[in-house]
Amino acid sequence: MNLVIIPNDKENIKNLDDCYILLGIKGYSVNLISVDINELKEIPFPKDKMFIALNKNFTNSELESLEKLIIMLDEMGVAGLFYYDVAVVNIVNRLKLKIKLIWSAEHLTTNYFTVNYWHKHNVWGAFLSNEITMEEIEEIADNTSSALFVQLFGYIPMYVSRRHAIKNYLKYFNLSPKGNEYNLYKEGKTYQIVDNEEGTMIYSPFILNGLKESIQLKDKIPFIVINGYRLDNDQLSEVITYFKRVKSNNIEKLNTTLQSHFTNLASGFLHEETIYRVKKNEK
Amino acid sequence: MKNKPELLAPAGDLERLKIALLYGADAVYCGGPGFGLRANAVNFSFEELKEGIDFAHQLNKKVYVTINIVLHNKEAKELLPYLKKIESLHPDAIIVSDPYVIELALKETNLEVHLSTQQSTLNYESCDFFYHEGVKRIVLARECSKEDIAEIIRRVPIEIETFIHGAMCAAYSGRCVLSNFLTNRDANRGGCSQICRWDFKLLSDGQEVEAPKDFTLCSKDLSLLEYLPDMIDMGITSFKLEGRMRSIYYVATVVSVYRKVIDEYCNNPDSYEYNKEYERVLRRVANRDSVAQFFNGVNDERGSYYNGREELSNQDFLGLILDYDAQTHVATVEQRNYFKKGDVVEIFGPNHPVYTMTIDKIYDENNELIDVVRHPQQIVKLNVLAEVKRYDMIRFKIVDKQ
Repeated sequence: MNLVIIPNDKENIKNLDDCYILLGIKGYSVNLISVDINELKEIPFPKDKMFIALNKNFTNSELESLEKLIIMLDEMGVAGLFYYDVAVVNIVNRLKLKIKLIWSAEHLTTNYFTVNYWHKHNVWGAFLSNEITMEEIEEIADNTSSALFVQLFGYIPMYVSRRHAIKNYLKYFNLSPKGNEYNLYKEGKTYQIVDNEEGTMIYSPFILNGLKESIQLKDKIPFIVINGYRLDNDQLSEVITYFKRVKSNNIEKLNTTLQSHFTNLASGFLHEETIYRVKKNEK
Repeated sequence: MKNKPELLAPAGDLERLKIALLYGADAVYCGGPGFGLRANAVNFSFEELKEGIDFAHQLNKKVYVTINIVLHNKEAKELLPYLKKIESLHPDAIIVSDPYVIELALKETNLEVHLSTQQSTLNYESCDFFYHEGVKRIVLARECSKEDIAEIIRRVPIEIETFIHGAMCAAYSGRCVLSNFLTNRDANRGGCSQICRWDFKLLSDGQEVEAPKDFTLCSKDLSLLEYLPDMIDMGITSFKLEGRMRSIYYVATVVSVYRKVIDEYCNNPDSYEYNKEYERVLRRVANRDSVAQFFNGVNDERGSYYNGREELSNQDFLGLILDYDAQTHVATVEQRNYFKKGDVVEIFGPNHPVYTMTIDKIYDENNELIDVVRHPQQIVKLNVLAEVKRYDMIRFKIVDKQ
C-alpha cells in the first residue's frame, strides 16, 4: 500500500519524500494545492513519485495550452495524470503518450464497470468516489486490474462551480472581499467555501478518517490518499505517521490517539449508503 | 427557409408527453422506471413508455429515454436487462451519462446513444472522444458560451443539443454532492434535494458577514429566447427545454412560445423580428427570473439570486379542455385553479390563435348553474363560441406585470 499525499502547503512538500504526492497546476486544477508550471520543475521531489491533477473542466480556448502541458509532463516523467475532463484522455491517446492516466471524476467513479471501461481506453488507474461504501470499494477492487486510489483521510470536495459565488454575492451587496476562503454555516455545521480563479469549491464539514478501514483495504487498494488540505504541518505529519504504522494489533490505540487530536473526524459514506430512490412519503 | 432544429421538451408523465408533442415539440425526453435522474418524479412504467413512444411515432415525432444516473456496482449489474427492455419499446435514443452505458448499449443493443449534460462536456476534444465512441449526440454543458458551441460544431461532426430554457445547476452538472452530504440523498442518482436553493450564513474568520440577505448559491433560470436565430444559424441540432417536474401548463406554454419563434425565424429569416410579447408569456409561467447565463460569456452576479427570490406559485392556469361540442358550443373543462363567472380568460392551443372571452355561464356535472369553480379537478361545462379542442388550456388573460 502506497500513501499519496495531497500537500497542505508547497513548503511542506520536501518533508513528504517517502510518499507519493498529488499536486495541481495553476489554471488547470481544482481542489488541491496548485503550483506554477515553471515552479513545478524546481520542486525538490522525485518526479516519478509526483502525480499531477489536471482536474478542472476545460473550455476550447484552454485546450492548446493543456496539450502543451501534458506533453511537458510526459517528458518530465511524472507518476501520472489525474483527470476529470475527457479531453485529457483524448489528447494523451491521440498523441500516443506513455504518461499514466488516472480517472478522477470525483463523484462519478462509483463502479467497476466504468473503471474497466476507462482501463480499456488506456487509463491506468481510478481515484474512487468518496460517496461509495467500503463494500462497494472492495467489490470494485475485486473486479478490476486498474490501479485504485481511495482517499481515507482529510476534507472531501463536495462542489465545484464555474460561478464566483462569494465574489458575486459581495459585489451585489457592495461589500469588500476578505480573501477567497470563507465558511458557510447551516444547522450547526460549517463548510469551507473557496472562490478563486477557477470558480467556487465547497468542502465537507468533517475530516474523513479511514485509518481503521486502511487495514481492511491494504491488500486491495494500492494507493491510499491523504488529503492535507487545511491541515497544519504537524497534523499532516502525524496522520502520515499513523497510516504508515497502522497494523491490526495497534489500530485501536492509534485511532484513539488520532481522534483525540481532531474534533471533527467522521467516516463519511464508508459505512453509510446514500439514498438512491426517495420513497413518496419521504419527499 | 432555413432547416429547423429539433425542439425537445421534457415529459414527466404520459399526459405531459402528449401535451408537449401536441403543442409543437418535435421530440420529448422522459425517464423510465429506473436509472433516471429524476427519482422523485412520477416517471413512466414500461407500458406508459410504450404508449408514449407509439403516440409520438404516429405524429412522426421522437422519444428519448433517460438512463443518466451515475451507476454504482449494483445498478451497473442490473443494467443490461433494462436496456434490452427499453430497446424493445423502440425509443429513438437513450440519454446516458455514465460512459459504461455507451459501451454496453452500442455493443448489446441497437439503441442510439446521446450523452447527457451530466458529463459537463465543454470542449471539442471531449466531444471528439465521444464521437469516436459511437455517441450520436452530445448535450453540452450549460456553461458553454456561444463561441464554445460554434467551435465544437465546426470541429466535430456530431449532433449538438443545448439547453435553451429552464432551471440551472449552480455547479457543473455531476460535480455537486451537497445533497449527499446534507440530506443523504444521492444527487447523481436522482435524489438531488437542491441544496443550492438553501440559505446559509456566510462567515469570514469565524464572524458572520453582515449583508442584507443570507448567502445562497441559487442560480436564476436560463432563457435563450432572444438568441434562437443565432443558435439556429450556428447549426445546433436540438434545442432542449428543462423541466420534467413542471406542470402541463408550463410545458404547453413554453413549448408553444419556442415553437413559434423557431417557425417564424426559419420560415422567413429575412423579415424575422423578435417579438417581446413572447417574453411576457414565458414570464407568466416562470417561478424564477430567467437570463442568458453563460451563453454570452458572462459569469457574474447577474446569473444568480442574492437578494431573496420570488418562487411564485402560478395560478394563471384555470382549466384543461377535455372535450368540445361544436354543435352546442359547449366545452367540458377540468379545473386547475379557482375561476368564476365574469373572469376574462384566454383559451390557447397548438393549432389556433389565442381566443379571449368572458366567462358567462358555468354548469357543474349535474348541469346546475354555478358561479365559481373552486374544487381541484372539478369538471364543468362552459359556453365557448370559438371552436376549441381537447388539450386546449384556459388561462387568465395575460396582462404585463411590469
